[in-house]
Amino acid sequence: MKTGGKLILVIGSCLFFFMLASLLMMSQTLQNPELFDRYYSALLIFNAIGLISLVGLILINIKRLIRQLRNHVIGSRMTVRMVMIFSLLSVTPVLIVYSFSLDFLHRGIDSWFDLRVEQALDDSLELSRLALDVRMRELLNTTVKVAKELNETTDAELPFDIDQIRERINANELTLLTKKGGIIASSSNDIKNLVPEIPGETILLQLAQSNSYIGLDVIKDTNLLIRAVANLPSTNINRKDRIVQALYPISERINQLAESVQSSYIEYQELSYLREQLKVSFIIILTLVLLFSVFSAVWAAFYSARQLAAPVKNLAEGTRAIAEGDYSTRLPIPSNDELGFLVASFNDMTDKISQARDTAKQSQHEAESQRTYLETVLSRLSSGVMVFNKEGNLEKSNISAAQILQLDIDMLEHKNIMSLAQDYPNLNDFFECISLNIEERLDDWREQITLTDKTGNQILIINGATLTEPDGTTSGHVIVFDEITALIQGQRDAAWSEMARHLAHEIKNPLTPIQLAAERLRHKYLAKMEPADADMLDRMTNTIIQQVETMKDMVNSFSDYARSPEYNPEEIKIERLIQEGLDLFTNIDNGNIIETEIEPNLPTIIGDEKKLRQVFNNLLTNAIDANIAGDDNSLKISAKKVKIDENEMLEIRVMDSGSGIESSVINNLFEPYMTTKKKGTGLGLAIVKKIIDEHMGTVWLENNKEQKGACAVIRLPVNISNNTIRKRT
Amino acid sequence: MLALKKNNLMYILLNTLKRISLLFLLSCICNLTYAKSINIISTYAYTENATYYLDTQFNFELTEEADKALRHGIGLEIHTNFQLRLKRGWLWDKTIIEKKIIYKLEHKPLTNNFLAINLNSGLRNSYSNLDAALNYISTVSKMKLFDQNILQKDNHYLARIKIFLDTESLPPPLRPQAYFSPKWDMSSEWFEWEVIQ
Repeated sequence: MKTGGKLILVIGSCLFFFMLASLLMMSQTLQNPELFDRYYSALLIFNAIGLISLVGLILINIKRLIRQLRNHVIGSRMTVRMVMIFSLLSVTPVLIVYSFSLDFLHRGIDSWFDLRVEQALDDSLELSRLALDVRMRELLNTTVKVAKELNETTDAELPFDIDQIRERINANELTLLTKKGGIIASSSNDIKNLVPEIPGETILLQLAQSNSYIGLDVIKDTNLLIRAVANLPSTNINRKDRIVQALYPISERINQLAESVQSSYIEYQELSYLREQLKVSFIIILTLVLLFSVFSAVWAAFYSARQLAAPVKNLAEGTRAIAEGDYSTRLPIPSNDELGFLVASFNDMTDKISQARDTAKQSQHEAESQRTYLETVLSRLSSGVMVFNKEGNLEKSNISAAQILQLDIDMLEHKNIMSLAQDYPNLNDFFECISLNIEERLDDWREQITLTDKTGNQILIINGATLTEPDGTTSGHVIVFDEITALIQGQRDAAWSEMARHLAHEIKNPLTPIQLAAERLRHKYLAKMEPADADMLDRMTNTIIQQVETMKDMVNSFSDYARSPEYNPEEIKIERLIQEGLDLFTNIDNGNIIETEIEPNLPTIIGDEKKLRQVFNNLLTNAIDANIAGDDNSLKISAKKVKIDENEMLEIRVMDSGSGIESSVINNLFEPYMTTKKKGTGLGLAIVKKIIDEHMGTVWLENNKEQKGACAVIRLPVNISNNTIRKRT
Repeated sequence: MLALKKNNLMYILLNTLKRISLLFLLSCICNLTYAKSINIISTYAYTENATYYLDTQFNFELTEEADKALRHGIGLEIHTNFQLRLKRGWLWDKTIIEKKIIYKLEHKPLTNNFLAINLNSGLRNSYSNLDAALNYISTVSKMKLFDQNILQKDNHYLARIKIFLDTESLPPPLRPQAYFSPKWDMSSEWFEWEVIQ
C-alpha cells in the first residue's frame, strides 16, 4: 500500500473511532439531562464535522476510483462492483432499522403526551386558582375594610394603628402609600426587611381604573404571597390619593401544593412545546448514527474492495506483463488463503515460463547462429544451392544459384518446382531434371545437363540429396549445382591448342622440303622436258606449291589459335575499326551492298586493336561468304550503346543476307573446326570467340527475324580498365 | 395493514429528512430578510467620583416563537453585555473589561405573572404583563462600568453594549433550531461609542 493510502487509512480509522466514541457519549448524555444540556451542542458539531470528514474521505475514494475507471486501470471495474455490493448489503439493513427506529421514536414521544393528562393538569391548575381565588376574595374584602379603617385614622395614629391592624388581619406586610407609590406608613412582620414592597406601575394603573387589586405574587424570594391593594375611600378629601397594600401569606401546605401543581404544569407544557424539537433532536442523533454507519460502511466497502481487488489486479497486471513478454514479474502473496495459493501458483508458472523462454531463446539463438553460419557458407559457395521441401517448393537458395541461373532468386522463393519449370522455359531442362530425380525419390543423385540460350551453351552438373528427419521421413531435398561450361571450354580450348600446336609442328616441318622439292623439280626438269610434259610438270608443281602454301597458311592459322599473342590494350574507337574493315572489303568489290548504322558519339573501349581488327575481318569475311552463297548481297553493320544489367556495353551487329544458320549448329559454330563453309579452317569464329572472351565481352550468332540471313552479335564492355582485362587475359 | 405501516414509515422518514434538509436552507434564506426589532433607544454614560456609569434603554421584544416558548414554561436568558475595548492599530481591539447583566424571564401559569430574575444579584421581580417584565429587563440604570484610573493616556478606548437572547440557555432540543432560525434571533447590534478620558 502506498504512503498516501496508509495515511488515509489511519485518518479514516481514527475518525471512525472518534466518531464512535462521540456517538456513545451522545447516547450517554441523552440519559443525563445535565450532561445533555452541557455537551449536546458540542457533540452535535463534532459529529457533524466528523461526518463531513467521512464524506470527504468517501469523495476522495470515489474520485480516485473514477480516475482509475477513466484510465482503464485493471481492477477498477471490479472495485466498483464490490463497493456497490458491499454498500448495498450494509446500507440496506441500516436504512430499514433507521426507518423503524424513526417510527418507534415518533410513537414513543407521542405516547408521552396524553390529552387526559393535559386536561388533568389544566384542571388542577384551575382548581388551585379557584382555591386561591376564594381566599383572595376574602382577603381583598379584609383589605377594603382596612382601607376604610385607615381612612378614619389620623396620621398621628397611623404608626400604631397600622401595626395593630396588620397583626389583626395576619398580613406579612401592610403599607399605606400614595397613589404614586410614595410610602406613608408601613408595618411588616419581617424586622430585617425595613423597605416595604411597592406595587408596580401596572397595579397602580389598575387601581386608577378600579378600586382594588388582588393577585398572587412572588416577592423577594419568598413563597407565594397574596397582594391585595385597595384605594382609601374618597370620603376624606385628605386621604383620597392614598392606597393600602397588604401582603398575606399562604399556608405552607397550600404553597407547596400550588408550587407542585405549577411546576408539573410547566414541565408538561415545556415538554409539550418541545415535543417536535425533541423529535427533531432524536432524529438528528439517529440520523447522525445512520449517516455514520452508512458512510463508515461505504468507506469500509471501498477499503475492503480495494484490498480484495488488489491481488486480482496484481494477477491481471502480471498476466498482461507475461502476455507482453515480461516474465520477471513476481507478485506479492497477499495471504495464506486460496487467493494466496493462486498468486503463488502464478509465480511458479511465471518462473517456469521464464525458464522455458530462456531455453527457447537460447535454442533460437543457437539456431540463428547455425542459420547465419550456413547462410554465410552458402553465400560464399561458388556452387548454386537450392533446398526444396517435400512438396517441391523452393525453400532456400544462395546467391551463386541466382548467378548461375541468371535469375532474381527472391522471386523464386516458395515457388513450386513445376511452376518454375513453366515460368522459365530456358531453365526447363534444369528444373525438370531436379523434379524427375525428386519424384524418383533418389537419395543421392548426380546429373549433367546443358542449357542452351542465344549466347551459347551452359553446362551444369547437378548433385541432389534427400533431407531426412530424425524419424526417417523426408523433409526436403537439397540441390547443389555448378556451372562447368568454362571448365569444359577451358579443357576443350587447351586440347585444341595442344592439338593445333602439335599439328602445326608436325605438318609445318615437312611442308618446306616438299615445297623446295617441288620447286627444284620444276626448275631442273621443266626446261628439259617436252612441251606437253613440261606443261604437265608445270601444272603439277604449281599445284604442289600452292597446296603447300595453303597448308602453310592453315598451319599458321592453327599456330595462331594455339598460341596466345601478347595482349596490348589501348583506347579504341570502335567505329574506326569497323570503318577500316569495311574499307578493306569495299576495295575488294565483290558486289555487296554494305549498309552501316553507327550511333554517333560512341564511347571508346579498351582493347587490343590488332585482335579486334581480326575479329571484324573474320566476321565480315564470314558475312560476305554467306552472301555469296545466297541470292541477296546486302550487308549491314550496326554499332550502338546498350545497357545490360546496369552495365554500359557496345553492341556491334554484323548482319548478312545469306541462307542463315541451322539451329542445330548455331551454338557450336564457335568451336574449332566447326564450319558450314566448303572452304575454311573452322577456326575463324573460334578465334573471334577467344578474342571477345579476352575482352570480357560476349558473342553469339542468331538468325535474322525480319529478313533472311544470320547476324553475329558482339557486346563489349565500356568503362572497363586495362588491369581488369589484363587480369582476365 | 403492512402497506399502511410501510407508507407510514416512509412518510415519517421522508418528512423527517425534508425537515432536516429544509431547516438549514430556510433559515439561511429567512436570515437575509428578517428585520430586527431590537435596538437601543437611549444611552447615557457619565462619571461620578471617577467611576463610569451607564444608563441605557433598549427596545427589546420577543418574537412570536419566543413568546410562545415562554408561555409554555421555557425560561429565557437575556444578556446585556458591556465591553470596554482598547483600540490597537496593528491588531484587533482588545477587550479590557467585560460585564454582563443576565436576566432570566419565566412565566408563572398559576398567577399568570412574568418573573424576571436577575442572575447576577438573585433579585426577582414579578410582573403581571410581559411588556412590563421586558421593560424592566431592557432598562439598565446606573450600571457601574469601570474606574476612570484604569484608562491610560494616549490610548483610545471604545465602549459598546448589546442585548441578546442567549440561545445556549435554551433547552438542548430547541438549540439546533435556535442556531439557524430567525425566530430565535433576538439580538441587538453592538452600540459603540468612544470613551473620552
